[in-house]
Amino acid sequence: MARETVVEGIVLRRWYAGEHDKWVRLFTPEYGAVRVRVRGARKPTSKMGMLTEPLNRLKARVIEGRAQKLLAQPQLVQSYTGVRADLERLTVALALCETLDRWLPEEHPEPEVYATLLEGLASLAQGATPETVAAETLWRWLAILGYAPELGQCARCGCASEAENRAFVIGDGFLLCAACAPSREGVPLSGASIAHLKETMRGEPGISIARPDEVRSLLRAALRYAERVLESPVRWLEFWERLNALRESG
Amino acid sequence: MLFPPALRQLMQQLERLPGVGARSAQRLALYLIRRPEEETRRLAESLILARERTRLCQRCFFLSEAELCELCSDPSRESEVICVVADPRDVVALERLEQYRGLYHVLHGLISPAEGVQPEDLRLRELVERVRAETPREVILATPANVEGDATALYIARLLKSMGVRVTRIAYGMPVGGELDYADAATLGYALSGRQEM
Ligand SMILES: [Zn+2]
Ligand SMILES: [Zn+2]
Repeated sequence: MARETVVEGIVLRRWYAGEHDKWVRLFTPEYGAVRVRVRGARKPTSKMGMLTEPLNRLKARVIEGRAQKLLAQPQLVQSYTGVRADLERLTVALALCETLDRWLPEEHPEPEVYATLLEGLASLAQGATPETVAAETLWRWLAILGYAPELGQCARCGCASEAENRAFVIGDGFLLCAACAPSREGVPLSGASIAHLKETMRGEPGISIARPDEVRSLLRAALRYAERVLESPVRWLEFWERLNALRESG
Repeated sequence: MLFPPALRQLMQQLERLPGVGARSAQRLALYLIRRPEEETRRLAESLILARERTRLCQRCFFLSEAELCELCSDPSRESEVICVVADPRDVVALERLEQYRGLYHVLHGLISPAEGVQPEDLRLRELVERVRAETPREVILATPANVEGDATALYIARLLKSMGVRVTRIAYGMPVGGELDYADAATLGYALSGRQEM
């Protein structure tokens, strides 16, 4: 990164520093996730505070300081008001941001991951089902970041996974056929779900055209797999699960 | 560290306060022990007194010395309107306006799972019980205009949806990541009068 750079990015996380400042983790397409300090963001007269909140897409100047990077002159590109107005959409958007914040190392460019995040947020804003967006985005990130599951055949016996009406199980990123899977391990996936997952992995509209029950099982598998990769639960996703439980209990 | 034990202990205690680092703790401790003894004694006494006397109002969870806070025990307040805020400081900020005449409900935080705060960590169950018991005309959500404030407001609106109470939220356009405590009176007054249905 040059001494002073103009970047575009999405705020993944913010935390406060002292009385007046805050830190944000800004995910940019060119430089990856960058930790920057926003001086005076909490002062009553500052407009920077509001602009540098999570889920905002902004343009800003990043200045390389002696020990830290500073963010200056933020301009709002997009605030995703449609996402913020709905509890499920907001929760999924924040879960995606939290996932990336934990997943991405400092300043390692991941332009494809960035593009996928933008697509996911745009779909949420346009009213796509949060489950579908979450499942599709998580699976695509897993693939881009090198955790693509082996979908061709059962990892133990080698039988083909396309066979209809056979339950397959995803554990640590591979499939086992129903006969090979230890009982209650992993998430059962139907042949149709696996076909949709394969399409998504090829960049085709697979999960987005899947049936709701297929989406739900693919989402469950993605969540478990992603949390395995991250080695801890994503806490906005835990909140989402509570939300679903609340909705089901009426 | 070469400071004598009692002073060192004071420094260690001060360092545990929010926003106080090791250097500030040393500076504060050295300042405090150089003040007249009477002054130090008063400080220590106020600390203990405030700690002992202050508790949460059993109705709205604002700070109080009695079972009910001054606001809740004031018969001239409109008890059919409840304004929900995240923090006791927000009550003080809104009271400074001298515009709002209803009661409050202090959540003591916002839903922020990433920082380990889930709904059950807030005074939400108490809010639902209160709305059920008091059947207010309106619940005004005055949570800040940031993602945690949004999530909390939407969550409360959902909890109260089936209870037949009017739920509104103060208007946006507030500065500084929407922290009420930091907003100036004009902005806050505008936010309160321009509230919107949830
Ligand atoms: Zn097998
Ligand atoms: Zn009270």
